[in-house]
Amino acid sequence: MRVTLKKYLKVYKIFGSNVLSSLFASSLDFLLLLIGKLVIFYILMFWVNSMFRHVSDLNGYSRDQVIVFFAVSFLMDKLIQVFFYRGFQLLPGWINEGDFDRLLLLPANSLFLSAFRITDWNDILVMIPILFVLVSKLFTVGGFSLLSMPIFLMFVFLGLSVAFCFFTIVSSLAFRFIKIEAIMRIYRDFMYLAKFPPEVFSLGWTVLLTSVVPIFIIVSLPAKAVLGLLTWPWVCTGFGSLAMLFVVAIKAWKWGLHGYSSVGS
Amino acid sequence: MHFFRVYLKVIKLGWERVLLFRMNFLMEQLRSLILMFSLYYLYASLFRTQGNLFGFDSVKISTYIILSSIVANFVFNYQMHALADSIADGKINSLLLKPISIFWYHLARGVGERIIELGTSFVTVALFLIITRAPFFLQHSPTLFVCFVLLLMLATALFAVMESTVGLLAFWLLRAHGPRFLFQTFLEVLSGKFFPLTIFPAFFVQILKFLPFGYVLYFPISVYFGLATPKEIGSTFGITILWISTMSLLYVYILKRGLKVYGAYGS
Repeated sequence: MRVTLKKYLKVYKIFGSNVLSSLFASSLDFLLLLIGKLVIFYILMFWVNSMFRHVSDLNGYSRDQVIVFFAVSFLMDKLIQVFFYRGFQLLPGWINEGDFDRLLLLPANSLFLSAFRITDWNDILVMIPILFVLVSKLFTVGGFSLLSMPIFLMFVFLGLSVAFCFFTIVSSLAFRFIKIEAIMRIYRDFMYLAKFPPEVFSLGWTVLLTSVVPIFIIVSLPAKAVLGLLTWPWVCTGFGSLAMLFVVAIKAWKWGLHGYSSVGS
Repeated sequence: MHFFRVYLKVIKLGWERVLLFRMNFLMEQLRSLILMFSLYYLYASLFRTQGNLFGFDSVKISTYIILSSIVANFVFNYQMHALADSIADGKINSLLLKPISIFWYHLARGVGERIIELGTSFVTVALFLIITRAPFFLQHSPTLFVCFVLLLMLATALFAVMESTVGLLAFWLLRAHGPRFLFQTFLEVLSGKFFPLTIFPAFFVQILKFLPFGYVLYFPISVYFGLATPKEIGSTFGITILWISTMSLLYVYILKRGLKVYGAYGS
């Protein structure tokens, strides 16, 4: 077990350094991406502040609480992108062009190689202002205590695990369908909306975004945890979703691999 | 006549390309439906206690959601990704060898996709209206409606020339990921796709009037609502045409410079 973990950590380190060296090769591209990501963060923060010029609260949530939701949503989005989103995003292309064959020939788990092949270093830098906003707001907003911190970290990990299972399921479709970009884009759209507390949306919508596309589990649970607003039904839903998605993700990946015909190569 | 015959074929190809990947196409429609629902519930919660916000009432805001979805489906047809990839992979060589223009080729391909997307947008909107029973503001003034349609055509041209220019940067930057992302980010946020630009403070709206992003979505829609004075409508037309001209000149300049440095490595 320890040897396996060591081996995968080594492989991950190699993947990470490869991406980093390719980024240095196209530094202008890297810089523009970084600027774009910082701009979108600050514009959306500006938007929230502008919105609260017109309303005093959003379904009972104060301006600072909504900003915490925004910051946590950005943080989760960036963590997902840093670790595995890019790998899953590029997987359909590798499958279509037959490059996936090479991954299958390597003596490591194909899901690990697919997901963790690309570390988005750019997003690590974007996380700095996000963390700054989050920490500064946590001291002004009510409900935060030091006890909230380990619970917050636990739900961040739960959110990342749920996201990983979700992307595994979606990516499995790439073995059977030529184009699945639209599903990935649906996730991106939902990520914009999950910046708001789930109570803003109708019950049916909350159920959809919790069970079918688990965006609220990924984003809202850590945000509610850090604000001290977590209730037992939400906690049970979070762990229940993870257990269910974990089983479905393993089955979906196996189903996908069985359907891989290596035609692109 | 020959010009139209050639590009009509490309329009048809664009059309067929959309229908080839039916699942992806259906997912795209589902995507716009989901976005409409989400924005509708978000704004419904904002308007629960307020009658009028940032110049919109509940009827106008639900209409705004519908119109922005239709306009975005029609106007936001990204060809720059294909263009940048074709430069990086050397696939653009086959286009360069043919007696056709790269710009018109990509525009025609986009038109084919846009026609089919516009058609299905109406189905998506009908579904949205049936489920939510959201009110819809119908503009009775034919002048304003004609202005809106004309501005939409100009918006499509502006979008096409802007995104093609960004795609051409792949001559210098491999696949131009950075510029494409930057452009898409600015466009999606500052065009008013998710919210009316009047949500921002007045000084920021004034700044946005000098940038091209709002002219591809928000400003044409504000004309539809009758929110703009005749003078403002005139300046919307003027600024849009000015941006199209500026971006067209930039496009030609970048294409000329780009072809000089193009090494056709990928081919």
